[in-house]
Amino acid sequence: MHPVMMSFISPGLIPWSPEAQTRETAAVVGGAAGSRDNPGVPGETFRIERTADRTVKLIGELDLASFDAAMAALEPILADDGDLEFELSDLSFLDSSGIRVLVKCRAALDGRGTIVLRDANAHVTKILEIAGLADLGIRSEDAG
Amino acid sequence: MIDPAVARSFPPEPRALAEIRRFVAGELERHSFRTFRDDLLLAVTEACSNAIRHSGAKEIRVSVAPLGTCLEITVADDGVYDTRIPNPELDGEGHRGMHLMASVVDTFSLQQGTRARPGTTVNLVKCRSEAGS
Repeated sequence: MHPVMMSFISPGLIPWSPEAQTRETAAVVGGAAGSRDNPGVPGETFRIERTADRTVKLIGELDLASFDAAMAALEPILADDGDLEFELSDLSFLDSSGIRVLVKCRAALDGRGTIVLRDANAHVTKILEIAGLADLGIRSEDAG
Repeated sequence: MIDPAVARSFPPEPRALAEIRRFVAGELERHSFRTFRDDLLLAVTEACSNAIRHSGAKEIRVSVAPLGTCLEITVADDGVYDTRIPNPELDGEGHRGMHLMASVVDTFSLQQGTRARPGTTVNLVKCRSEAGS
């Protein structure tokens, strides 16, 4: 993994450190989750790591619950020009809220850069295809 | 063997979505219905997200039931479905949920709650393929 890791700290957001993530997990799932831990189910939280200047890694489950945090984290990056790469190998779940994040990023860049998605798992790839993101100019690429 | 349907209520809050997925995944496991697990987790998330965002419901009830070689997930809320069925092409960046949900299941039905008769129910059915497990 690239050594550069930054936390995106916005007002009202918990910094994405492992410690904060643990607290967030507890806050999100409440008391019942731990005892219902199912190894077949991916983790229940979401976080973003900035692994390079214009690369972000989406980790966990991106849905309506994580939409606001995702947009807040991406906002400062979108302010700068340049292509933006999303590393999706650890994204275990993506729904229409996740599609909305990607489409909003494309709109925010508004021609100042393109969006590339990398290493999505099979089901996320399927959802990206159904949503027609390629038609919107959002490219998907597998591991090179 | 008869497997009774199991239903559980959840608060209409975004943070409940992860737990709803865990509940459904557990039921799919119990019914040995692992095929299309990801499709069903997506569909139930979209149905519940709609209830959370649009209905004003006080609770969401999710049930999972075997239906022959198929599996039916029902998402019922006590709210009002007061938005028209959205068109992704007209509505731009949002409202893709209904399209995704319908795309990944075999049968999809929606009974819309009205102001006079609140209560919206979404049925999602997915069937095993010939070689499914």
